[in-house]
Amino acid sequence: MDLTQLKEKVDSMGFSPEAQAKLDEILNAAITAGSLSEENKKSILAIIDVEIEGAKIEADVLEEMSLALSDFASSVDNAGEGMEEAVDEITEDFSKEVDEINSETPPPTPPQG
Amino acid sequence: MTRVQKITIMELLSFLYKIMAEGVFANAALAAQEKGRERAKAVKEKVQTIGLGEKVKGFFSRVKTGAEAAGRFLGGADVFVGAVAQETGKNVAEFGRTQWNRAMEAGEKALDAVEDWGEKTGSRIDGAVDNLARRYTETQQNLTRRVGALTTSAAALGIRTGAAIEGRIADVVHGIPAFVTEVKRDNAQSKADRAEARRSRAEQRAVRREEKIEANYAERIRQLQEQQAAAMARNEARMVKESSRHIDSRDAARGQAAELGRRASEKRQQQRTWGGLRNLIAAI
Repeated sequence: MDLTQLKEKVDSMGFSPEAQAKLDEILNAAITAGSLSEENKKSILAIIDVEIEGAKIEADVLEEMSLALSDFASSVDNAGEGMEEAVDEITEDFSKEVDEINSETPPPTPPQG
Repeated sequence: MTRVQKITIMELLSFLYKIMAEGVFANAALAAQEKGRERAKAVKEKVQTIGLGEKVKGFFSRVKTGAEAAGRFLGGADVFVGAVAQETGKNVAEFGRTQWNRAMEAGEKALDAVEDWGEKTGSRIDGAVDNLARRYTETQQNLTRRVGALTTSAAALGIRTGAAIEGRIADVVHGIPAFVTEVKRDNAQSKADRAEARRSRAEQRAVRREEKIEANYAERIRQLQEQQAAAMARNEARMVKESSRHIDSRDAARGQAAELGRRASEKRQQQRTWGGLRNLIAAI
């Protein structure tokens, strides 16, 4: 791969604008000079390392927040644990109480007229 | 919250796919399909019947029916004529009124017990959202520390990178503090609504117990019944709304989690691609 091809490849990588500008500067100089010095190569690698570390930080934060939100959603799912059974029991107790009330008879009524 | 929330669409789909797979790969294809249909039906019924909304509706229906049954003698006084008969009619009406009051109080007691669960659920969700807020703060602090270190390394190379990273992250997670605030505000509102409903029930109970009705029994009882029915309908709507708020916040969190997970995957892929380029250049 010659330097022009390398520059095209680097250009297509989606680096941040500032890193890309610095890489362009180094690679353009290398193309003009016809070779990539060891020092410039180290600079390119160091810039890429910074970009990789930046992406790693972003991914870590996004994953941590994604996990935190998922945990929250699961906690909401579990927040009513036991509620369904409890409501069944409450309804049953209430029904029994009403049945008991309804089983009582009213005072006798006199004949009309 | 309720089991209906535990059975997510994905779980349901996964279950249905499993059933389909059974149907496709089993030798007795027709039998498997039938079995699949039965199991799918069972899941569907489960999903449809055990939501809190349905549960609460069933509960209120029992309270209403119970109170109406207990109050069937309420209007008795007004249909009797003659002094003695009217007195007896009053007794019948008072009997019905007492029964109705007792049934209403039993319903209110049950309602308080259900609301205790609402309180407990609300506290658990408060705890969960506090936990989310704590993790957000910790992550932000960690981000600032790591970006600080990276910015120093980048500056030595003549590039500024920290602000850009923080800006991109802020763009995608900026909604979390607002979400936390919203969930906490909804919970506080639900708590206030529950307290108001309890206060209102106590007030109505006192009116029912203490009011002396000397004439027009049927009319007054009808008014009280209407008030009670309206209060019960409000209680029901409030509980269903509270449940909906929980479901909405859960779904919003799950949706946002999926989006952040997707972006994190993109970043991981980017890391790998850049790592590949780095190796290529290192080998030159």
